[in-house]
Amino acid sequence: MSELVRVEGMHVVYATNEGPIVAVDQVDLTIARGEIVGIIGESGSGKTSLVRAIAGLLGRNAGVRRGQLWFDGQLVYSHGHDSRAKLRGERVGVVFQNARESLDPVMKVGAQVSEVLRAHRAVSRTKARDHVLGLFRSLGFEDPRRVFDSYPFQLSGGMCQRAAIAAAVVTEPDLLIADECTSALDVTTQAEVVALFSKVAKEANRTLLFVTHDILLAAQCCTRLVVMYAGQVVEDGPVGDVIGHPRHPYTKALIDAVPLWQSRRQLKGIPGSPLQIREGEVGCPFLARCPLGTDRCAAANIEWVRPPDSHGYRCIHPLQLLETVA
Amino acid sequence: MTAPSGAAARGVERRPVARRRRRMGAAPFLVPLALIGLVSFIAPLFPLKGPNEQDLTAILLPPIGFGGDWAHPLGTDQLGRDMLARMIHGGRLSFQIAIAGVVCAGLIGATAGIAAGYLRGWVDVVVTRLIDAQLALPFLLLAIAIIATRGQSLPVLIGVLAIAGWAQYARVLRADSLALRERPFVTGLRATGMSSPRIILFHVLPNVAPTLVVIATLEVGTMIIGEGALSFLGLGVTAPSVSWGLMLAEGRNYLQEAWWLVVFPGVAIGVVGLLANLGGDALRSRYDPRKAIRSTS
Repeated sequence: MSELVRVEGMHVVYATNEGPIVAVDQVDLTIARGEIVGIIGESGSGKTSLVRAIAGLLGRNAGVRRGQLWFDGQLVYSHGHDSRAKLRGERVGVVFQNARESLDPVMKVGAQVSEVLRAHRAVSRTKARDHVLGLFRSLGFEDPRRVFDSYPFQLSGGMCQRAAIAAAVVTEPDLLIADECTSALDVTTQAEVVALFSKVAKEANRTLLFVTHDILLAAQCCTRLVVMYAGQVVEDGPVGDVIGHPRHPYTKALIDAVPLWQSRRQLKGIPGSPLQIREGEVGCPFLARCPLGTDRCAAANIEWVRPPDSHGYRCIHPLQLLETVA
Repeated sequence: MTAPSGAAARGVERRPVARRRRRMGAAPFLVPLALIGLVSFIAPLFPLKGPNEQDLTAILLPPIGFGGDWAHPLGTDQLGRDMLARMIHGGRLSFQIAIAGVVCAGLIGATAGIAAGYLRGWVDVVVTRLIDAQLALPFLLLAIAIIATRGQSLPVLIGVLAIAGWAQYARVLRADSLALRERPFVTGLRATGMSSPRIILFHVLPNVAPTLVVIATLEVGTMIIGEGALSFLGLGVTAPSVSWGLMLAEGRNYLQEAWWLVVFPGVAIGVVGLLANLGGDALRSRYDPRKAIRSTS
């Protein structure tokens, strides 16, 4: 599989009244074409900042301090060079959390999707309309014409999300980023939207970055999981390995916090709350909440390890296979 | 997925809490305002005497009900000109000036305000300073200065009104655009690769359109009053043109013997100003009950 996105040393910092906060801490990540990658972590773990940095959509108070970004073999971001704007809409599509809010409230849904197409391709109004109606049909709208001529407030949340997906894929981008886009939906709609994302990605061998805090949802549709904590990637591997044999205590804790109705297992929350990391802090950021933490964890930054028999993780006392089975 | 019927979805969305309080609509104010404007605009179609047609045998005739007759329903002025014809033609010019002023001020103000609010950065700094400077200048002082240096003409008068009015648009639309640019849908549009000019033109502008309409309505009243004030002071419309302000100025000398020369144009300016303000306020509360736009007059 050929490489589509490569992130090297990405470092994103937010300016706040209390000083700079590191949101993405020296992240390296390589994503191949056609991969469906779940990026998971709690609120504040830096997953959204990471994908927004990739798309060039960070807010005014945030900035990429260091790092480089390659897209399809081309350097699109490094110090003093930024051509991410050319990718947006053309080769990268993004779907956001609250679909109704991410559509223009005073413009009909069909017109908005057509506009995206017409901004990037030289097509006539009627051609664009036909194309969008076809796309709506393939995305499972029962009455594409009605949706086309509706305002966002006239559609349900799930339908808005579908329309937002349509707007993101209408130009056939190589990379689709789903930024927490199921969080505002109810569970049944979530399942439909996730299925739709899988379909949209697999049909066109499109790469999907699926950002979510819901590890179970990510496990349903992704081929690979990237677990983030405090701006760092703490575990990265094929979905079965990460879920079945988590090596980092944080991943294990996330899995234990998932409610399963079949099991009578006691739900376990993760004690404490995520740290806000400042520039130059040393040691494992998860130390304060980690059941296995030792003095060594605080002494130095934890290196990324990738043993031959396992996927990669960032921990000096990883969970052993036996422990996770028990 | 079950789609709610359009009507149900609309019913839920269209009834914000604040609208349950019954507010008076804008129609009772805007319909009379539009009628006055319409009558003024089609004035040449009426079988009226010319507004400058003098009849020195019939000067200072009182209106009907005060000893006048149907030949001159609103009486005549000191030169025997028909007051009804002068009122209608005067209104025509007053409205034309006001609307031209509103449009010019709106174009300048909306462009500056939206650019400042959406683009931020140095544009915002410059526009904000200009707004503050503009609002600190007294209207009449500015008008006298401009008219004294640029001469007295219709374009200059409209220009003065536009310069006096643009800051209101700019200030409110800047605030609206500032709020809009933080809305997720603007990030969504940027994510689809739309350029800033395109977002401003096709998305920000339609979203601030209600505000624009409200300010424009309020400004019609301000402009009519402003034109009246300038013409009254001899800085605006000059004879042989007719405007309400000019009629007020000319009738002032005859106030003791012929009140109708002043009362009719004065009441007309007052009523139009009031209708525009009340109509604008009603529109404002209709479009967004929570939004506090300070009255522009």
